[in-house]
Amino acid sequence: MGTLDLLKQAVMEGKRKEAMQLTQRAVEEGADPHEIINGWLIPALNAVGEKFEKREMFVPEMMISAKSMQACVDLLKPLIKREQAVARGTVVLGTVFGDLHDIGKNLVKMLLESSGFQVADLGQNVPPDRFLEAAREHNADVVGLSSLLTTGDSHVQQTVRAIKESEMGGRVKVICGGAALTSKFVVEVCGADAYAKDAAEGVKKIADLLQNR
Amino acid sequence: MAKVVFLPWNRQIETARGETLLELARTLGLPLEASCGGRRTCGKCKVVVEQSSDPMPPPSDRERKILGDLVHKGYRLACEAKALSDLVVRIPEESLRRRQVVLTSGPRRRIPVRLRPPVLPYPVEVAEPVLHAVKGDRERLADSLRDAYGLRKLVFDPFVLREIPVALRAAHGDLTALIRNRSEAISLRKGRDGLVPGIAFDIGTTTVVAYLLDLSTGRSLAVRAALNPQVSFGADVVSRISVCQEDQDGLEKLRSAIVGCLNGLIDEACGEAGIAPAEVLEATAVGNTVMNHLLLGLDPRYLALAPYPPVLQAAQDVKARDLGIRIAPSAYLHLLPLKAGFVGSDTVACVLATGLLRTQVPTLLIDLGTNGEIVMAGKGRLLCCSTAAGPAFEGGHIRFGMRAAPGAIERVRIDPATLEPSLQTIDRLPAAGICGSGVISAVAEMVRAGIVLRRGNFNEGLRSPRVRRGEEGWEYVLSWAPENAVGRDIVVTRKDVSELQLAKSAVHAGACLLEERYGSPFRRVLLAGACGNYMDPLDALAIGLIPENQGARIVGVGNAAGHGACLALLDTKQRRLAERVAREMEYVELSGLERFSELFVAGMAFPSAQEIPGNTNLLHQPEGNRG
Repeated sequence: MGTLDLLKQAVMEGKRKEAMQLTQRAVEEGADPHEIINGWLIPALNAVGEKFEKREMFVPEMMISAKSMQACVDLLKPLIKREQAVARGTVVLGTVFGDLHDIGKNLVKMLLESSGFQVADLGQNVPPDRFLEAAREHNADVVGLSSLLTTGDSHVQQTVRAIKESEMGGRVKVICGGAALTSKFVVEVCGADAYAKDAAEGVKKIADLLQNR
Repeated sequence: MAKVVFLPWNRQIETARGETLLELARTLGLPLEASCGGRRTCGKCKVVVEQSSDPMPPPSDRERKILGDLVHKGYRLACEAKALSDLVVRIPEESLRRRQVVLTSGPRRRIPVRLRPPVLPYPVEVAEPVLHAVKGDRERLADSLRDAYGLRKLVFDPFVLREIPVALRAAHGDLTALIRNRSEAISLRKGRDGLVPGIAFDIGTTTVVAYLLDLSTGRSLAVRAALNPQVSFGADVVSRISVCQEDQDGLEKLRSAIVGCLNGLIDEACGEAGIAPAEVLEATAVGNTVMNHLLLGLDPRYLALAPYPPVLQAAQDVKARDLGIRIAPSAYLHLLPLKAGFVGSDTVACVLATGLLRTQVPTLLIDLGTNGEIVMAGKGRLLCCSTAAGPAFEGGHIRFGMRAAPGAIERVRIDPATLEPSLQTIDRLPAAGICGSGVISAVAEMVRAGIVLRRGNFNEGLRSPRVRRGEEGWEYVLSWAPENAVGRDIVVTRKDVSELQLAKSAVHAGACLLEERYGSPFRRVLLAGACGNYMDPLDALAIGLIPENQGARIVGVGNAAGHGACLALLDTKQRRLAERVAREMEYVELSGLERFSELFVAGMAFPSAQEIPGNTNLLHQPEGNRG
């Protein structure tokens, strides 16, 4: 197996140090940093996401893999020429008002960033207005809401409404996820564009939303 | 032929004879409560008919009377409702006959208590009234107490006033006044002897424990535990807050549920001690912040809203009767102070009980429950945080998880050569599920035996019928169907391991973060709570629940929160110390911290097989008694 195959495997197995060494070696062997990310690291994480959906992998393994991948991307970033670094889209992320949980949201952020998206992370306890401001400020393609508490439903609804009723409503897509939410509530009641049941699905659906635009 | 499925076990039975649901549940050996033994009098066997192929016959008059509004929600009495068509019946938590095993013992290390109780007996002789200088009964009693003890400006509650005339005369002038903090008369009684009973409550999200003590000697009179009846409204604090938001009467329902539970415990404990509830003269209570709010009837909804402010932090003295708690009508309930939305008076009580305010040894205290509260203390500094560990440590979100009740697997050893397990269950009954300490023990052994690898994934190359692919991914069979009480293979799944990883990693990250903030390594770890007490410290290290610090001792301290409530009952100085703890403890909010997220992901893996401490190879009973 070549260095890059080994790298892909190391990321999938969450072997961070090994993955970093292999990244280093791949660069020394002349591989294009951009190609390492798009051709190997992102597919590695996609494969992890698929295994996750098939219940062959679980959240802890996915987090460990994502962390390994992030370490590799951090090594490569300074080597990428600016013109190559075309982002796949800009996503504003945050946990809704009244909620300080951010583990799920952070996982989405890791997965998005390592898949080539620009992410503006607003953190947790984010009021509806702040989501809207950030969407304007970053000219976002997608706004992602996370809500872990059952008490957060009204804040999800307010946030989605604030964005959809603004001048941004036509172009920015809204996706919501988190333990407290259901597809029915998010899409039918709140009027968001998509619901994701977990981080892996979230990344996939964000990609779909941008493709279908 | 009617087919009946009982949830939550998914057990099925077929009948053509139209038997009652209670009879069918008994045939299956399900633990459905029926205190009256099926004589249709107690109303304890409530079940919910979730589905029926044909409409059920309408509820009987008796069902309507006992169930009230519940009949509209599909509730039936199992002793009345007959299986005439295919049914799916859920047996709710409240109807489960299950003797909860609760850690009621004190800590192994006794903390010396000085008895400085709030209520003290003052024997006194009161002069007879004389015709030419009539003084009221209350005035003569107050004068005598002033002359004998220098007690001035005593307050007499109307309920005590009502006792005075009878007590004075029955005692022929020779009586004992029970006075609180030298300022208020709580009760009167004849003669000079007798107990000064008080009761301490530890109100957990799942379990409530009551300790009946004699304030004059510190002696334990009775200890009783019960399931928190609020469990039927939701297993964790957040779902109970939701009840208060969604149901207009939700707060009152939860409040009266817990008050009813406390009154039941008072009756039981007093019955055991041979005293009347009205003889109990003081009470204390600790609990997490939500439990504390619900007991006082305070709206907890802002506790779910960042930055999670509690309605109050300070200790409260309230008349027990004002909350509906039936002890002496003039007696007080003292609620210990709390720190924050997710660090309650139970954590403050743990700090009291373990003497952390004064410790010189940097110590980590972990109270394992649905929220894992962590305190780092030493040399006058106290730091605390709360990690959302989830219910895994109490057997929740685990495929075969159950609370620590008879039949729960509490300890597991796995032979690394054959991969065959040996199990220890509570009360040595056939296995019915796995409790929190059992989950930790099982996973620790699976890691040691190489069944579970570093990232929590299963070693798929093992050749053992016990390691197999099930519906939810890979799993390990702890107990084959014919050997256990549930009639299915009891397994630990990859998903269970994942739940435990998320829980242990949260606690691990919280502990590391507090240690970093504290600035020097801890030398001692105290594990509080039932799960912490029964857990083998080596298992805790094997799964990476506790950061490994060379040479740090790990000690189980039992139900430290309950013990702290007892200290506050017996010694008023402890109440002042509790205020100090609540004031001086520095609260660290984890969920906003980048560093916490880093530590959380970093702590997700299990220590590799070479790193972990070896197996004790003993199925030993930990010290301490269960109630």
